Amino acid sequence: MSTVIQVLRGTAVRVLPLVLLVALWWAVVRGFALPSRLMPAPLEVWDRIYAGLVTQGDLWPHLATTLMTTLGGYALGTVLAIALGSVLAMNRVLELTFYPIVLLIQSVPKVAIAPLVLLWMGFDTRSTIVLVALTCFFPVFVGTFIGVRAAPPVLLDLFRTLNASTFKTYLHCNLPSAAGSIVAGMQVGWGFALVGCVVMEFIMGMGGAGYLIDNSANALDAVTAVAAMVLLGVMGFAGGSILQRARARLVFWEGQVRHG
Amino acid sequence: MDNSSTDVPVWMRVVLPVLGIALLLGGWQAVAQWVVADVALLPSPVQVAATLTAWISGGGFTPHVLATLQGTLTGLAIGVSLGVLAGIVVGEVRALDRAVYPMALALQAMPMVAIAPLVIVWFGIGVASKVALVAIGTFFVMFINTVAGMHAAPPALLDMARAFGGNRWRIVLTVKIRSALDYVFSGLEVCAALSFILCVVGEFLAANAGLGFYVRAASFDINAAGMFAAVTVLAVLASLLAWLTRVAHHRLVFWKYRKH
Repeated sequence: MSTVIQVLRGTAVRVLPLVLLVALWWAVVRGFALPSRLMPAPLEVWDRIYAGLVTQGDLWPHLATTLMTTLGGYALGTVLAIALGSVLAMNRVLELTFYPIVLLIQSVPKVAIAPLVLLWMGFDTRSTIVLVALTCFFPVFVGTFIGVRAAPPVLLDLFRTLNASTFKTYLHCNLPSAAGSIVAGMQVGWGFALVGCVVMEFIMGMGGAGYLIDNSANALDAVTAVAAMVLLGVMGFAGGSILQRARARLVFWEGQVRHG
Repeated sequence: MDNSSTDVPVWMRVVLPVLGIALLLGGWQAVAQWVVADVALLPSPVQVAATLTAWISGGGFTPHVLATLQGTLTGLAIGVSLGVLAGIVVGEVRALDRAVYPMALALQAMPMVAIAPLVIVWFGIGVASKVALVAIGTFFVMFINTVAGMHAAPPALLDMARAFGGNRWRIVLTVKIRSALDYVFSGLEVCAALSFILCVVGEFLAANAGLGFYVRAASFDINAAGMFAAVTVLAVLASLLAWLTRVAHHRLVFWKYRKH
């Protein structure tokens, strides 16, 4: 019985903020009598989402475009970041040579080069994938680098005593101890990846949630724009939750320390 | 952090980073000169530097830099002050804390740049929409960080302040805000990068001046040298702001960063 109450309470704690948020949104729109072409009420947006996903289905192509390109760029950026982060963390000479380059490139706000990427890659999904990979690279790189470096010295000494090769030491010692830090970087990276995708869709104007938002806002169809924003939020939240679960599962031994 | 056996002689620590940067610039110059050999697509570092100096001495560059700085810094000032104030109040009043803080966390899942088109519809294509966009984006970061910082006040200090008869607002002022300071500055470091990104994305979409506007216009002219120059200026400005925030952080929260 008490478990049922606990589950109900847990759900209530999670859902209540959203309910309050929607109530606040409704109150603001009603209170200031905002016209729906500028700021729609929650119910209008819900109707639009329902129509776009169920009855008419016109939102699906845009959502699918955004999801697939973001996933593609995210996969590319993450793999590169983990590889480079690992290599630089394992080799001091390479680190000293290439870390300054990474820092220099990092100082450039990634979305600012979106038009440049578009110029190089053309009006194509490839542009979006490259920009997404660039935007999500750095958090994952830093997470990997710090995590690989933070391997316990006692374990490293043990591996050295056993005459393990650098690769084996990395695979069985550094990488497992870096896993939590890598996934943490990937959680930040997922948010960045969506930003990169949306910005490229803004300026490319060839479909996707970002295009939908820009196009509808300019056509004074704020209902569709806000509907697309909500769905983007769902995407961001879903990705974050999946990674959170993966982290708890993957590095279960770190789970005990965390609270809440 | 490193074990002594993987460490390298002092000369390497000086030479290798310089070598890395030299490699980057040399490689870029070589690719631009011999592989791409098209200024419109990839200018060499020398050509970018030439564009930049011509731009600075010609003065045509000042209005764009000023517009971006105005949008970014004004928005940052508004967003940060409102976010910190709201964070202090919400972090202190328990009922508000339980209702509002999870709402802000739920909103965080949406990529903030997604609201850019709607903000432009609300505030027009001038600098006001960039100010609003930056203010909204940085508000949430600062709000969440400030509330987290208020939560993180050490219980022992709170108990002591209470034992000495400190009233509520005195405790807030002398204990809670002080311990929140570290979180506030961490938020500021995030905002330093975020604010420029938001401003530039706003300028991509619709503007009449600004570095983002310039990059977008240069992309229509297939003027990669101009884009590189504008992005370089942007990177320098963003790095400068990030560096100033960092210095202020380590100065003001000296008890935590004394060792550095």
